[in-house]
Amino acid sequence: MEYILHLFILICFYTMLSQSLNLSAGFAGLISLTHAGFYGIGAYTTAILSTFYGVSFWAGIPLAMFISGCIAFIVSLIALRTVDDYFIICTLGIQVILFSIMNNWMELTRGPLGIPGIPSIQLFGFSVESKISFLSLSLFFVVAIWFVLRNISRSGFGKTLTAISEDEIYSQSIGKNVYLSKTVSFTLSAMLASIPGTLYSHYISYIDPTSFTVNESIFVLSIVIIGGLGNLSGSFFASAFLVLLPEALRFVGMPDSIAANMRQIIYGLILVIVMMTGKNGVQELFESTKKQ
Amino acid sequence: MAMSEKMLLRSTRNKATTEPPHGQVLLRVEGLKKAFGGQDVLNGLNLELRQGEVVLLCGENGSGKTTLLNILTGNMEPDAGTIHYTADSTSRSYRFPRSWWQKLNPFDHFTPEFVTREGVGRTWQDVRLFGTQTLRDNIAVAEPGHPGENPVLSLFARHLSFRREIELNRRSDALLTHLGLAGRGTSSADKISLGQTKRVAIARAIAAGAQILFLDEPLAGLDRQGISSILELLETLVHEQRGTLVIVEHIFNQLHLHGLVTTNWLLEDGVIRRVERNGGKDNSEHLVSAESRGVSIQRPMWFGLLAGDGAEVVDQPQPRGAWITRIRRSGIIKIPLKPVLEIRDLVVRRGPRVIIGIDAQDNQTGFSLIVNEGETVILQAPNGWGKSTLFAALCGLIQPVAGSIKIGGAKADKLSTWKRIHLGLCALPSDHNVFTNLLAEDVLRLSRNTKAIKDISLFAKRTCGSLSGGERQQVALASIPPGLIGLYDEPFAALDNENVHKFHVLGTPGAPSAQLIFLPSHT
Amino acid sequence: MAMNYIIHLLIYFDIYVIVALSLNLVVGYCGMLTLVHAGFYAIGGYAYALLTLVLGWGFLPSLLTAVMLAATLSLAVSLPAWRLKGDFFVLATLAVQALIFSLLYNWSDPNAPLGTWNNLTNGPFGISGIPKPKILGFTVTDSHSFFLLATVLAVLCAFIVWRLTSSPWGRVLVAMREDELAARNLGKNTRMLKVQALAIASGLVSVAGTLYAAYVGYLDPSSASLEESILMLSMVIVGGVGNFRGPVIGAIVLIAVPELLRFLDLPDALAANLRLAIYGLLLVLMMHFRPQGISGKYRLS
Repeated sequence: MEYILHLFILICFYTMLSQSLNLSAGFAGLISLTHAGFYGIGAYTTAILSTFYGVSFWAGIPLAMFISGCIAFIVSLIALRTVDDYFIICTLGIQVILFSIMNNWMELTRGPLGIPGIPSIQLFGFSVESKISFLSLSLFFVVAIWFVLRNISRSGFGKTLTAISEDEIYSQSIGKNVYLSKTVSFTLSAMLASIPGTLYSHYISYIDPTSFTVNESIFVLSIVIIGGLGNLSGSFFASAFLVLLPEALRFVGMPDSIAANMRQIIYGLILVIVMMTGKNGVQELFESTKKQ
Repeated sequence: MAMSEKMLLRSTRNKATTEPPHGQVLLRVEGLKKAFGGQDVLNGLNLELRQGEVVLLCGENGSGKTTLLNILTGNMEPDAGTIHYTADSTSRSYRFPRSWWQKLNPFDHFTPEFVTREGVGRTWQDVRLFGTQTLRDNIAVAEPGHPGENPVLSLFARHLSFRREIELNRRSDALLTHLGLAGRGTSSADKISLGQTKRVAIARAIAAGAQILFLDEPLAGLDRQGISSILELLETLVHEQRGTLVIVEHIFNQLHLHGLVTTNWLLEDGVIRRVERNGGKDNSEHLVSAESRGVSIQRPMWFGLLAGDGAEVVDQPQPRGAWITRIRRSGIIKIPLKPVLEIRDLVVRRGPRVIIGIDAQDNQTGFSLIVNEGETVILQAPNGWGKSTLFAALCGLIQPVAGSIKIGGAKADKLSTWKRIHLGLCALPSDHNVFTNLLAEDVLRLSRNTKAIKDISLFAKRTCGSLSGGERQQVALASIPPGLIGLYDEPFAALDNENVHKFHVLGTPGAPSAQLIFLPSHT
Repeated sequence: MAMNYIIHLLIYFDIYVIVALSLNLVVGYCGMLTLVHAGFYAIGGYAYALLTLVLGWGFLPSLLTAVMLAATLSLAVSLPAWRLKGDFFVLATLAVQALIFSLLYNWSDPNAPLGTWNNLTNGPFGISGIPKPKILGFTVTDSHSFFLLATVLAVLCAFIVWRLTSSPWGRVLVAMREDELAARNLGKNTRMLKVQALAIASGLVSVAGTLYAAYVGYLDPSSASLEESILMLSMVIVGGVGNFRGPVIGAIVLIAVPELLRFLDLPDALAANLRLAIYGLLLVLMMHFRPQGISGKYRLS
């Protein structure tokens, strides 16, 4: 039972992560591999503040969002100069740098040793320690982020992002500051990603850099693509699917070593098939030539 | 019977008259259908193309000429119909829609590479040479069935392709010489003039083994000399090797083709309405009359709507076949004149080529134009003149190399597009005007034109992707934010008269106080 | 001592020249950014390790088998490349990369002997004791003769790449990079071209993987990690793509930079970790300031 609750909590984390990434990747078309970095920044900010300085949970979240937002802003100044596949590679480089910082800045993050003993969340005098209470708290944030993102996607800003990802030139000619909108969406998506980071560090009570590697970024991005770019509920279902898939494989009695490979094969196949049947292909090649 | 570049090299011109085509059928199409977003573009089209025919494909803008061209060259799949390619000794038929096993078999796809092997070649309006390659490579790369293109052979059995390579290089160089590019074989393809690239593109398609050549606006953007050199090349092809051509060309340039064309296809309502075959003998008159007429200005059919009664209309010729028409309507024009858009000595480059700000002799003169408050200025220029480049430069999408742009008196050269928009520029690009996934009313909200939603109330709640061309254009026109100077690139392409009138009404009361309209030189 | 150090660096240089030149075939000549190169590098190494260690094959037959294997497996990338372009192609290569890493990492069973179906890779523990190359009865043991072998192979690979890129095949490849649609309208089968280019590049990089396995004598899944792919891609992008000089310069720069760090008196653990950060930084900076690389004649996108 505890384990099932744990899985649900994981689904909550990945739902938040993938939905926040969907803001930049899905709506603004900025397919980024830096998301685990921002997730990690949120986690580390909380861990350091609450463990060493006794900052409370409610104060930690805005601080984590602020720091993650500042870094995302700087990153966007660099990365948004590039487009398409170059943008991906650029964000990949930045993810590697962020990971190296977490892994090497001994004074701040204790590097690979990680930060142990992160206190659990104190809420109105209660300590959120049991799985069921933590799940309720996570669900609250899932709903909150979902609500925020849904409203953004229905607002003028969300429509602007859709417009930009469809046709930058037309967006400019109706007076939209393309660069600013992209920066804002990238920053906002990083700020939202720091919330699951905060929750994660309180939940696990020990963090080290290995939770925030490129692979984590790739995992979150696959959730977004499999769930559908710009589809918020799709991100939720894809998170549930990808988190539960290994369990399902274990359930059918597959040994761990084979199950791990099976999982990768299934992820990869779904990803490639979704991308192929999605919006790409010969037809797009042709349409892009017509635009030139 | 294939047109080979060897024969192309023979430069003696055969003046024999063209007899009406009675050659073998090279291409037959039955019941071709194609729809975009629920709109039929081609609707059960039939046609037949014979050896030696030179076809001019005519039709209104948006009648599906380009779609037909793309389908016949394998670049687009039709929804239904049959296409028989019989140019090669092995004829091949494609029946649409394709069944699922044909979609699975990668050797049975309807794609450009397979259609090309049936002896079909094409050129592009925007030429598409391989920019970083040398001219010689641009032609040599087209060689069909070259053993050196097999990596194993080129690695272990280079001698197999060695001779062919030498021969190929020699032929490519000779071909370049024939195209007037002697000694330029090693210069890269983005360093030659537009007319030269167009000739290389035709030569490239022939070198790829084309027996039927589809030409997409081969004369667009060329000056008189460029046009005559292309015509000379086409004439060599047609008269000496009975080459088969299908040409899509704008009316402005169609006059030049009259001596060449044997057949006219009129594309209307998704079918070929009329096929006219002319002997070609009496066409010399057309050619002469076209020459003697020179470049004349044609008024678009909605011109009266824009000008109204009692307007002062001034035409000014521009270099390279362009005209600027100024319409000053009494009551709207403000005296003294107050400039809202000032372009001075503008020079714009696209890649390595100067597009805007040159005269007919390629001298860099700079382009200047002033639009005053209350004026409607129409820039009519042939396709390829550089209208969209000028448009992009005025919008700030590309940086000019020299000159200045002022909007409403404020310097705008270095500003980003959205800042220019906020200065009072209202721009409508011709090819960037649809957000397919947004609702029509959302587009207007985004551009803060909520008032105009009532004008499109019929389809405000539909996504733009599902709208017809004319409806899309209405949304696009309505989405232009109010401002000082409206900049429109071919705004009426898909509109009927009634909607042009609407646009005209839209234009006068609140929004832009002056207009600059770019139009292709034909009705 | 110093001599041995230089020989060591030169061997690494040989290996990475092969890597960079083969990657350049895909990135520079096809214009497709790929992140799966380290996967095929490791597949080459693992194939060599297993064939020599378990089956006792000699160097040359193992090498050839490794090349064939990597070339065949490259279909996993080239088939999606038929339809996927740009950012989606990068993601597809990422998926294949993750799959290869996972296979090498997980295809193991502590109870089964190495090289059997149940324990093909020894998982995270890696394969140790990979024999030195045995060529025609002669075993390459000392580093000097290994350097000779590595240089011969690097020159051979460079020759292959040069010969291919200067052939009509290379000409069509460049045409496809410049304008795929126009190339197809000249009757060029660009799908086949992509399959060929990726197979050749993967085959060549597996030679480098083989050399690495034979030189170090130990191989674990980290050689197939994404970090390794990033290193390879930075080499090509730093050096510049589409010509012969660029990747070589990139290989020199990226081998030299971490070595220079040694002279900065950093703690060892930190220096090793900083390497990755530097690769990332180089990648970002090059994208930002000089997309055509140090010596590239052609600027991607």
